[in-house]
Amino acid sequence: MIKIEHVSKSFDGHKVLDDVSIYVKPGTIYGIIGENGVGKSTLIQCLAGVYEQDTGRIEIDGKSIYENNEVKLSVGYVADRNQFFKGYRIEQMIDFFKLTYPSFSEERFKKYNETFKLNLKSKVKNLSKGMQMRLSLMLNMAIMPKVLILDEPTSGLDALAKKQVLDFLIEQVDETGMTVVISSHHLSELERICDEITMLSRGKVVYQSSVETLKNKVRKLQVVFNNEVPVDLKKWEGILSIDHIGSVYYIVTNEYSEALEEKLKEAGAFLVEAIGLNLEEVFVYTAIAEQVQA
Amino acid sequence: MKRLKALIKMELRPALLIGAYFLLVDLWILLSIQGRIQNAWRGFLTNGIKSISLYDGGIRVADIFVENMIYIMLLSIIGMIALVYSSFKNDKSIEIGRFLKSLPYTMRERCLTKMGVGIGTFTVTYIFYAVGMLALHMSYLNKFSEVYEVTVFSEVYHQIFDRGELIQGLILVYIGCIAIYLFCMMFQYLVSNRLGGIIVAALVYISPLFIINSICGYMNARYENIIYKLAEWVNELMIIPAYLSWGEVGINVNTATTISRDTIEQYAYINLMGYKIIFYGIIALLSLMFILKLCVVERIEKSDYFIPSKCFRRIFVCGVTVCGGLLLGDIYFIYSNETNMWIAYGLLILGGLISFLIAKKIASIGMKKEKEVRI
Repeated sequence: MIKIEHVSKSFDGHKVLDDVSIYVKPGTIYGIIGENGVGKSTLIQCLAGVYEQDTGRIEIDGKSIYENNEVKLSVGYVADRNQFFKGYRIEQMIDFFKLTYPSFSEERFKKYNETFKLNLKSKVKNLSKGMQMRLSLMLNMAIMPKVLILDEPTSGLDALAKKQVLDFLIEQVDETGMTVVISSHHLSELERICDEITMLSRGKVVYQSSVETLKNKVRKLQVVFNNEVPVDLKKWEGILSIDHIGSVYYIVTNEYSEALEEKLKEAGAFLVEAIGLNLEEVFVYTAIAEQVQA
Repeated sequence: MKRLKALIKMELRPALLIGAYFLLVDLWILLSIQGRIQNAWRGFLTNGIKSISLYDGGIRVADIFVENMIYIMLLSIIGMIALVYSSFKNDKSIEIGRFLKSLPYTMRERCLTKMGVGIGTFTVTYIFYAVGMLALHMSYLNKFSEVYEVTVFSEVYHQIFDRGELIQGLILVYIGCIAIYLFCMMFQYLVSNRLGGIIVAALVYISPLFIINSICGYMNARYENIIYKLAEWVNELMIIPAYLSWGEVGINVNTATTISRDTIEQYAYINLMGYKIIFYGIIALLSLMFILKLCVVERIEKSDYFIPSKCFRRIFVCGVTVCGGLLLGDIYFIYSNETNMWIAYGLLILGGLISFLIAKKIASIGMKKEKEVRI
């Protein structure tokens, strides 16, 4: 449904996105993760039709989104910062959305507001960051989009607000079957809600799979060797980091397989035990490895 | 159209405020004209023909209309600039700009809506002004026509001026204001900063005037030179109708030996008014064409650059270099009693060099590498 093919984007000669390709299946929640400045927001904004990619194609249902009203009518975009007219009241923003999107449902908005309880008379500029995010989410949900694009929707929100926003999102996706593309730093949250993720590093895709596959692929191995540790262990394919406490070695790999375990045993390991990593740990080890490589 | 209603409403918010300003200006001018006509008429009734005789320092009611056209033009231009400035507030804000870009409106739709609302606001208020002017003209014309039927004095006759002149004047002011509006709007697409856009537009507008006059100074051009005549034409066309109507009608009518309808027409601004309408019409049309091109190629990701367009960056640097060079020479001409042309040319080069460096600095605002501003 969403096809991002070989997309590149540069700013001031600096390549922010480099040959990024992503395919998002309909009805899934897709996460885009990465450090600050790796191009997540740029990718999200290209996907929302805000930026035009330098090369490659971005298509939603087979149609390019940039300057395409037909496609944009079915896409909701929740930005990371307040994006609405500061002088407007919430009710005026509702009117604006109602006139812009024929599919906008005021009833739905009101229903959503039963959860978030925003005062419709309040001015957008007087809302806190969390409230503005809730407003943006409700407005974009109420247009009943086929695709919802969220850029760091939980950054700057307190724990309660985060939970409220994410629960609301899951509930609505479940109910409407929309496709969601979300970028976030809060990986534990993405781990909870995403079906698939793409990890970006320096504008390039480093991982792309389902969360489970990724967690199966990137693992920490607890290894004890009989004798000496193989000297070229660091150079083995897929080894991200090696650490040790006494004789116990902790090896993080992004190419975990039984074959790797066998290889370690052949190299003299008498104990090889795989420990699962959460998404945040996967991200941290990968990012560090990328930095070292850079 | 229904789909654009949200955009129209958004654009109307700043436009309504400026619209109210236009109405106040119109009202003030109409009331002032009415007051002065009343005074002229009252003077005629109490003091007779003397009060409207130009030989005795009387006033020509037609001039009251003309004078007030200057005020309406100047005050409308201020309003137009304010309208451009306020209507780009949302577009130039990075966050709101991104939001607008993500909405199902094309850049051309947004541009046309903005333009439509701006021109519409001015047009509606201007119609009010034009109708008021025509009504005032009709009312005073009736009074003086009746007097002329029984008193065949040229002083009375010359108070009667054709409605066609007035309509032409009204059209000129309207086209002039629209041209200035579109010209300023065009620069909002060429320069990222709102105020910067207005300043650059003003400088670009007056630059041909400045360059040609300055060249006349360097060439010591006299009346018979073609460059002098060209400068006269540029002066004539580019300075808002005020110059002609005020200067020529006022001065020439007063110094004319025989006051007759022909004499007045001969000196009146009507002859050039047609050219001016065409001139401002061309500016408006060219600006419109450029706007329609620029609005499509505008990229929000380049909003950090003071001048996003590479081509305009070059034109800007070249223009500032030329004008800066000429300016230094002009200052020398003004302040030196005896002019040495070698010094003038030296200053021209020095001024050009300094201006080039300054222009390059300005053109590279927001860019990481200044060397990207190439000529």
